[in-house]
Amino acid sequence: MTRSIRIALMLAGTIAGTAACHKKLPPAGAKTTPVTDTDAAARERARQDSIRRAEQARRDSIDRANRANQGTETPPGPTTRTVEEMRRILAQPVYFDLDKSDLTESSRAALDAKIEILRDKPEIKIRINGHTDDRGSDEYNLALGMRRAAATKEYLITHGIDASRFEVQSFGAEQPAAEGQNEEAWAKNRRCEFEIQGLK
Amino acid sequence: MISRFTIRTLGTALTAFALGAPLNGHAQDTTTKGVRIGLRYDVGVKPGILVLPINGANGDSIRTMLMRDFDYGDRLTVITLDSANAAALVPASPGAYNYSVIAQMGAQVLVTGSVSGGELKVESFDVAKAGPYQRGAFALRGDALGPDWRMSVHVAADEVENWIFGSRGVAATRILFDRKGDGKIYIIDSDGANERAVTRAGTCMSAAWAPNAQSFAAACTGSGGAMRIHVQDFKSSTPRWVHSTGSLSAAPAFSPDGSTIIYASSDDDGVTDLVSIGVGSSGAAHSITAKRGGINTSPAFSPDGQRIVFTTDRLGTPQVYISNVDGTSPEVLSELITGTSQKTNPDWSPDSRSIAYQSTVGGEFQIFVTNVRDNSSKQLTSEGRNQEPSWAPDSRHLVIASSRSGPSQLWVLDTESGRVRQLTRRGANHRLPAWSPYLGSQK
Repeated sequence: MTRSIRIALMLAGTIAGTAACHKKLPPAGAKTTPVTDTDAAARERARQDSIRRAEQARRDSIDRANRANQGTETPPGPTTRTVEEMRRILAQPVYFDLDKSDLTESSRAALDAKIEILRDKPEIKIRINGHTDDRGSDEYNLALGMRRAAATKEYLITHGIDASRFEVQSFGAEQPAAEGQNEEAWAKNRRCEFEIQGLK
Repeated sequence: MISRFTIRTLGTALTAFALGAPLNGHAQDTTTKGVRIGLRYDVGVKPGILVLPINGANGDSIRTMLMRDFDYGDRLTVITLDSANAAALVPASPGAYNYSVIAQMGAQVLVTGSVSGGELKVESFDVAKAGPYQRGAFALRGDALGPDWRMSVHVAADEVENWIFGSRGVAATRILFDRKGDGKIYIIDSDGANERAVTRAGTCMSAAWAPNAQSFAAACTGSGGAMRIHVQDFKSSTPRWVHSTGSLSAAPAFSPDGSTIIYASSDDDGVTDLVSIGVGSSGAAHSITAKRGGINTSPAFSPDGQRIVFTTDRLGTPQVYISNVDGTSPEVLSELITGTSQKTNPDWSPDSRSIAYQSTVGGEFQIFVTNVRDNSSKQLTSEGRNQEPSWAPDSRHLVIASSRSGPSQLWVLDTESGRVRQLTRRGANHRLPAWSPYLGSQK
């Protein structure tokens, strides 16, 4: 759920709550069903639950996108991995929130798995390609993709990998991984991809 | 809008009239009522215009084009008559028009024309005064019905509007654009004709006109992978100048004198700044936004070249800012800073008065125009996703990318009436249109 919808729902909740506190008395003879504070509180709780559920669904979609590419099995240690296993781990995309370049918890976990291999294989170089979903403007998205690629590179550098091993590039919203105008597709498109060089 | 008029007694009327009005080669100043620009007309009422059959080669095509241009200009009400009914209004004696019948049809302006010797002669008549108003001759360039020939007819249409309103129409213009996922820059006439690609190699987007309309800039990704600024002459199929800084160079805009390009330059640290460079220069670009905010992009110049308008996220969500051309004195354009509303892709109108941009409404982009003087804003669209506005030379029409009919096409939006017409029909995912300067004075 977007921030604007959350704010709108919270505002609606506030307005409804205010209305419940300042009810006008019904005219004499009018048949009315009294609205109790308990009803208003229940509605508010339902609204808050709805907001929490939507927020959780959005988080889950990002985590699902990350997990789908990470596999479910615990990877073997670096010394016993095959080249193909290392390539798969290094190439796993990392995913981002809407209009954000902050690394999520699951994205950091995916990068940590890469760091392990990069420390072990100093000959490997990587080009980090930033991508976005298509909800912002296309020119803005080019810049946002670059910011995501740079944030990803920064994380790898601060964990001891030499900056000279990375190049960054942005494709904005030009090369979507998934088609569709829904959160599931958007979550898959807000990503960094990794091109691997020197892995033998 | 085109009005339809049925003539039942035209033949009778034509045989019954006699011309009594004196021929008068010059418009008289009539300032008593209504608006005096060329002809007299009332504020808020679009004068009616009737185009009679054009004599000579391809006269029917010329008449159709003139009528369509007048209609698309949104300042005239075009009286549509089929050829037979229109022909019945042509008098046996030259100049002896039945003005009373023509006036009854709602026409205040009568236009006639003829083609001979590669030239289109056009004459206009003031129906109220029952006499000639203005006339002109226009060379028909290139092959009949070809792009240059059609542009010549558009020039004539624009000039007729100039006679009437004191300002030219915008028929003799073209629009550059690209299609997402396609990679080429395309050009199309303002009436939707002559669509063709102007780039071949590479993947390009964000085309911008050079002010002299001889060349254009675009952001293109070559074989090396990095996006760079290209400047290409229309007469060539390859760029004459390629420039880049940092990791990615995008969203170019020419200064009004054509000497400078500003564009968005992204560094490896993820910051995107606006920078400026002399066109053709091999030197370094000068920073404009100097790392104020993480993202600065989509610049456009004010018509006097002294200021720029652009998108920046220095307040968090992207907003439209104005600053001096060197980046000093930045101020936010939009009067309302709503936390989640993104405002991007601004364009400054040629008359300096307005800035068009896109802003999210309910999660979709819509077109807005802000009056620069009082900062008041007006929402112009609400159907589908509408974005990337670019002003026509008349500062009245915008070309936009819109999903109102399905996958994004280009549409022309009249900011005064709200009327829209579809410009492109082939393919999908049209975007980032750029409306040319007036092309009528080009050879």
